[in-house]
Amino acid sequence: MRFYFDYNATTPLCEKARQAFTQHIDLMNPSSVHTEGRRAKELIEKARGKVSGYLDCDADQILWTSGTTESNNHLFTSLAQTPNSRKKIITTTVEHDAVLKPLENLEKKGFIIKKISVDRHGKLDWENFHHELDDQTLLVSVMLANNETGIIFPFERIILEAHQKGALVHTDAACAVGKIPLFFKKWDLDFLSFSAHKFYGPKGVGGLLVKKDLTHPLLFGGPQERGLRAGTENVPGIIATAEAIRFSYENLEKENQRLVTLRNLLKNGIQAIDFKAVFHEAIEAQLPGTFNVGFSDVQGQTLVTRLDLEGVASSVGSACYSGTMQISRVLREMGISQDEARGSLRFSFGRFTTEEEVKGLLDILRKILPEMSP
Amino acid sequence: MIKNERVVVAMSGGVDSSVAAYLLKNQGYEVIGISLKLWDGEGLSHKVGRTCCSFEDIRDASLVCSKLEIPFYSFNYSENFREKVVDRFAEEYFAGRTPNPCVLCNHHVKFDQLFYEAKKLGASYLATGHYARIEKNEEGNFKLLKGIDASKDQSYVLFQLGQEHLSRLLFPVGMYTKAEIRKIAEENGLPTADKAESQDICFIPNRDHADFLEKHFKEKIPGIGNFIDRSGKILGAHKGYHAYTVGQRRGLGIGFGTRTYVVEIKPKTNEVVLGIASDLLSQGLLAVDVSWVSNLSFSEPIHCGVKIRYQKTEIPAQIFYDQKTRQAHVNFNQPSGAVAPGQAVVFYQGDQVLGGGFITRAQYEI
Repeated sequence: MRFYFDYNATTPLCEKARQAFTQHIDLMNPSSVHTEGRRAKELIEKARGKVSGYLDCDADQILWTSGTTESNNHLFTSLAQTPNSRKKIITTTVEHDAVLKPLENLEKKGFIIKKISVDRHGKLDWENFHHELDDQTLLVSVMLANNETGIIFPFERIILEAHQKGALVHTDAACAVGKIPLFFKKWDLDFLSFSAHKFYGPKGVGGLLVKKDLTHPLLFGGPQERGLRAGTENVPGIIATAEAIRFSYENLEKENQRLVTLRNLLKNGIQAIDFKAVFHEAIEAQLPGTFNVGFSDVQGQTLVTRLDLEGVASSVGSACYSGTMQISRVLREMGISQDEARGSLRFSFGRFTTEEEVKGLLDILRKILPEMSP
Repeated sequence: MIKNERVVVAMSGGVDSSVAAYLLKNQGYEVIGISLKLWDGEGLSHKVGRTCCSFEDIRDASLVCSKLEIPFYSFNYSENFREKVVDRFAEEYFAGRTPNPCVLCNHHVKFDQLFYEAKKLGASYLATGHYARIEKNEEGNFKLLKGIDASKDQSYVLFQLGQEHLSRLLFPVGMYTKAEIRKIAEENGLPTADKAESQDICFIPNRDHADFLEKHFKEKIPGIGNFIDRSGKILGAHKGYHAYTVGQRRGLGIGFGTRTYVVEIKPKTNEVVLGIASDLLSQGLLAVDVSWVSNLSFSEPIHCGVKIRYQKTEIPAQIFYDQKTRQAHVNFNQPSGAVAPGQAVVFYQGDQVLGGGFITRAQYEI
C-alpha cells in the first residue's frame, strides 16, 4: 500500500476530470470551420466560462497555456517588449523558479529586479517592500501561497499598495487555486498564473488571467487565443480543467476544516515521537494541506528516500532537473540554517487524503526515525 | 534465491555499475540504486566528452533501475564535493603538486556519503561498479584485490579502504572482464550497454585543468614565471606553474632540440624546472598519510610492487614505514621516472593491495 503525500507536486486526477479528458480526447481541431471543429471550439469556450466563475474573472480574461511556467514567461516577455519607462520589478526571495528564472533573464535586458525577503514565518519584509515600491515600479509579482511551506501572502494589501504607486500586480497562484477562494476582479489583480494539475486536473494545461492588456505573443504561428498563443489547443486538457476546478472548490470551507484536522493529527503525532522536529509554518495564513517539517540529525533527502521505500511519497524542497534533491532554497531564504533546512521535508495532502493515511504515515515515521538517528 | 538482504548500489550511469546492480539482483539481493550528484558547475554546459554526474548519467542510471525494476534515488552532495574535492584539487595544484581528484573524491566524499545513505536506508551492503575484488580470509580479515581484468583494474583508487569498509562492500564486477560486463549488459538489454567509457575528470570535461583553475580560482593564478634548468639558469617564460605537472612533455611551448620534461615545480618562486628524461629518474619517494587495508603487521622492510600513478605499471620497491608519523620511505629497486608529488602511491603484493599514501617528494639519493 502506498501513501501519497506530495499533492503540491501534483494532485491525483479527480474522477470528473478523468472522464472529461478521456471522453474528449478525440475531438477535432477547434480552429476548423466544420461541424466537428465548431464542437471542439464550443467546448473549450464553455470551459473558459466555467473556470472564470471560480476565479472571479471574465471568460475573456483567461488565456489558455500549458501551465504556470508558460504563463509567467509569457507575461514577463510581453511586458519586456512593451515600451515603458518603468523598469523595476519587485518580487520575493521565496518565489518558485518559474518566476525567478524568467525575471533573471529580464535583468539581463536592463530591468531592475528587487527581491523582498521574508522572515522565518514567511512574513514579508514590509519595510523593504515600501522602500522599493516607487513610481519606477512596473510590476509586483508575488506568489499567492508558497509551494514549500504553504504560507499565504496578504494579497489585498500588496495589490492596494502597488496600485497606489501605479504598478501592475501579478501572482503565481499555482499553489493557491483550488485551495483558497480567489477574487481576480474584486481584488483588482492584473495578472494571475495557474496550472490545472495542482487542483486535480491534468498536466500540461493552465492559464494566464489578464485584466486588460497582454500585448505580445510568446508563441507565434497561429490565430489561437486571439493570436496571443499560437498552437492547437489542448482540448481535452482544457475541458478537464473546468471539471477539476469545480471539484476543487466544492464545499471548500468544509474540506479545509477537514485538512486542518489532519494537519493537527500529523503535527501532534510527530511531536509525540522522541525526535527533535521544527515546523516551518505561518503564524497567520497558511494552506492547511502543506506541512513542512525539519528533523534534526537526519538529512531530508535520505528521509524522503527511506519513506519511499516504506511506501510514502513525500518531497524535499523542489526537485531539480534530474530528480536530484536539493536543499530547500525557500527555507534558506526564510533564514533557516543550512543544517535545519537540510533535515526538512514536505508532506502535502488534499481531497483524497484520509485519517487512516495520516495515521499510517505516523506509524512509519515512528518506526524509521529512531532507526535513522545517528 | 532470496537473500532478503538489502544492498545499495552506487550507480554512475555507466555500464559497470549498471551490471553490478543486475548481478546483485540476480543473486537475490533487494537492490536499491543510488547516484550522488557531485558537480553542478558550468562544466556541464560545454558538452565536451563525458562527465560523471551529468543529467544524462543520472537519467541513464534511473533507466537502468527501471529496467531492473528496482528503486532509484539521486542525492545531492555538490556542496561537499566542491569543498572537499574541487577546492582541494585546486589547492594541490597551487602548492605545485599533481592531485588525483578521483582518489580525493573516493576518500573524502563518495564512500563516506554512500555508506551514510546505505546505513540510513537500512542496507547491509554497499556495492559499486569498481574493477576490484574483496576476499575474506580464514581469520576473518578482508583483503582488497585487483580486478580480474588487469587492463581495467581500479584497485589503485581504492587503497584507502579499511577493514570496516571492506566488510560492508561488494564489488560484483571485479570477477569479470570489461568485455564480459558489456556482454552481460547487452544480453540483458541494459540501456547503458553501449555507453562510452568516462575517462575525464568529471568537473573538467575538456581535460584542461589550467583553464579550469583560471576560470574558477582566478585570484590564485600565479601569472607568468620562468622555466629554469637544474642549475637555475633561466630558459624562458611559462604561463604560471599551475599549468604544469611533473613528467609533462607536451605543451611546454619551448623547444630545446632534445626531449624536454617538467622535472620539478617550485610554487614559491613560480619556477618550473625542465630537464631531460634521466632527470626524472629518482631512487624512491616519501609518502605521507599512509594507510593500510589490513591491520596485519608486516616484517620490514616490506618488499612489494608500487604504483605511483593510476595508469602506470607497478615497480618493485622496498617500503620503510614509520607508524608514528604515518610516513613511508619507498625505495625503488631500479631508478624510476616521473614521481609526481600529490599523486597516490599504492603498495601491492601480487594481486593484493596492502595500502598506500600520498607522494610528497621524490628522493633522488638514498
